[in-house]
Amino acid sequence: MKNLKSRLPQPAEIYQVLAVIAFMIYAWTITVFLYSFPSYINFLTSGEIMTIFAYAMTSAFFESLIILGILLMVCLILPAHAMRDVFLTRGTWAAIFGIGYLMTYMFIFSRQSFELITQLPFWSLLGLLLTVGVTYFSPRFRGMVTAAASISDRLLVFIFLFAPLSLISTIVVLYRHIVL
Amino acid sequence: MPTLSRRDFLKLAALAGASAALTTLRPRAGSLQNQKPNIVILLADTMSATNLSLYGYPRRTTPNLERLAQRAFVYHNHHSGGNYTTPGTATVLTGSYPWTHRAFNLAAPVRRSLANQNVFRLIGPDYHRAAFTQNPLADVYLRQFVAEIDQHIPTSTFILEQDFPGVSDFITTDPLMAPYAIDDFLMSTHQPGTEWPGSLSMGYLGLVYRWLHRDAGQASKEYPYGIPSNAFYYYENRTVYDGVRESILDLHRRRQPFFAYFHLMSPHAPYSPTGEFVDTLAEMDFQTKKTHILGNFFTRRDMLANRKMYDEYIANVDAEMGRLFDALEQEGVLENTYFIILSDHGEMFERGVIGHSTALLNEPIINTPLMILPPGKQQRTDIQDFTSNTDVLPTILSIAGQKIPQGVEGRVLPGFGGIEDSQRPIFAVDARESSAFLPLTRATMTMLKDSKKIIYYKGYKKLPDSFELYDLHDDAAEKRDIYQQDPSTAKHMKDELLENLEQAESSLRHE
Repeated sequence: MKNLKSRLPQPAEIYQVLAVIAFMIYAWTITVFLYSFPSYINFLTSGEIMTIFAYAMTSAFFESLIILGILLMVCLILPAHAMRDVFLTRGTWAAIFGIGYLMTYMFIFSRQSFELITQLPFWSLLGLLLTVGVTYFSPRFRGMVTAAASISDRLLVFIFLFAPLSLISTIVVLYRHIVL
Repeated sequence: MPTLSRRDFLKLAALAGASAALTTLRPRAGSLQNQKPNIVILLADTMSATNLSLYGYPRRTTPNLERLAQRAFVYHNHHSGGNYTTPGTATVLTGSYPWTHRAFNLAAPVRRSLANQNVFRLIGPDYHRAAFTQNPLADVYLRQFVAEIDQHIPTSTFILEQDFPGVSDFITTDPLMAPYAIDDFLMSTHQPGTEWPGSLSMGYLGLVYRWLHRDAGQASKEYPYGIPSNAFYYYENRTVYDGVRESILDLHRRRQPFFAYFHLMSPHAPYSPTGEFVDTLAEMDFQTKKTHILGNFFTRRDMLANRKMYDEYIANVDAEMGRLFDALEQEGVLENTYFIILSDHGEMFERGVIGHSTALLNEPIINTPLMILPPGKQQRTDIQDFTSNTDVLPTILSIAGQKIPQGVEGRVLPGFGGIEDSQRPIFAVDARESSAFLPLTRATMTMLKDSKKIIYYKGYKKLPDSFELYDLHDDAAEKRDIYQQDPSTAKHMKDELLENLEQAESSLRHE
């Protein structure tokens, strides 16, 4: 266990990377929710709309944790100098490019033709290569290192907003499934 | 003492056996007489009465329904409450018009204060209540009324292959809100052009799933236009109708009377008949009608081509219905079961419109079939007066011997205790862009009465408040708008329509 812990980055770095992931995931979910909101108010009551929001926040919370878990898994697998020692930089850029790429693809897919789905492996591979490439080279550029530290430090504040929101939302969802 | 020969003994033994058998059968026969009749609704989604040869359509699309009609009540001027699944189905299940039940936005539930007024609750627990729909929009109501349904069969039953993994079939808790949140919001990638998925990872996994199943549903010799689909899964009508038959037989084996609601997707688009129905109907040149300003501007050629495919699909559905009823008759199900065949709305191939995504309420889109087969009926009865899908609920309650609540807007149908009344107004509403909680701001409404039909377009940018008036007796095709030519009828019809709208909306203020 101690050995396992030693292969993980410092908690402060983990929180900072989580902040970047959470910011992007929650931003997407909240944006989509706001996009759907005018339609919801036409036929759902305020309680029902809040319920969808609770599901959305719960999903975003677990989604963020899963992505963080994947990055931590990479830390455990790769040598320390490849990921653990530069977790803040590589984790931040991996999150920005990976999630950003997914956002772009989803945005274009929803706006354009169904043909895009037949090219899913190509675009997925391209996105993966781009993310891995940027993540790999990021510690070599001073600007990217400082940018990662700066961005993640500033986004840390959102954790204090998302954490209680997610906690309440998770309780609401559990209540609806267990008690109601 | 007379001697008993071996032959006499055998005769006596046989008589005793038969007598014992009759003694055990008698109470059963008696209980069947006293037992309430079973009731089955078979709803074919998007079936326009104007395309059925049962009602005089020149293409022979429904030979089997015509055969069944020989022992049924056939309603010739029956109308749906709306022009797509949400308002149309809610009207059938609640016996009220869309401006009352307020389910007119895509996938909207019924007004919460009216949720108790549903057929499953009102028919009561004496009945075993089973419900199945292939249409996810209609499943909203089965989930909303799930507490009163004894057997809710998931939409993914009887399918060929899953097209997109929805979770609503697997999650039974929080039945109304979980599918809105998970299927519609978090995973919303079942069709391009729809909203973005609320969850990036779930949305992406959905795309991966669709990519893995990308070859499913393609055209083949058996399905020249592709395999039937509802955007979530592929199915074959034969399998679905076989499933319905087995479900009805299972229900029939119970000792409790049953009420079953089967809402089947076909002939809803994509029109996907099997090969044996393709190119079998007569080629016809249907009259062109002027493109409506609220129409979609499809070309005449496209409208004719789609009409042909739709007609072929109806012929396919008709064949399956015929097969279903023949099997049920063989099993004796029809002896104590009322069958109600109807649709939630129609389909349109005129005025620049293909399908039913339109604000128009012309006859092809709201004139729907209604045929009721009561047990033991031997001759056909045709009813010509206007009837509405709001009438289905009170008629069912009347058959089941239940009280009809005051809020129900429909009436018991002629043939089941109701009277033919040409002066009775019936309505249909499309208000998908209005709020369910406020007075209608943009909507199309129609009222039919005494062979006249008025259509009211309210709040459209392209067509500010305006009316059309048709005399369906002389102009069934609605080609001559007589709103200006017949001002007295126009005024009378307009006033009555607006009065009913005002009355329906006045109840909103009390909530």
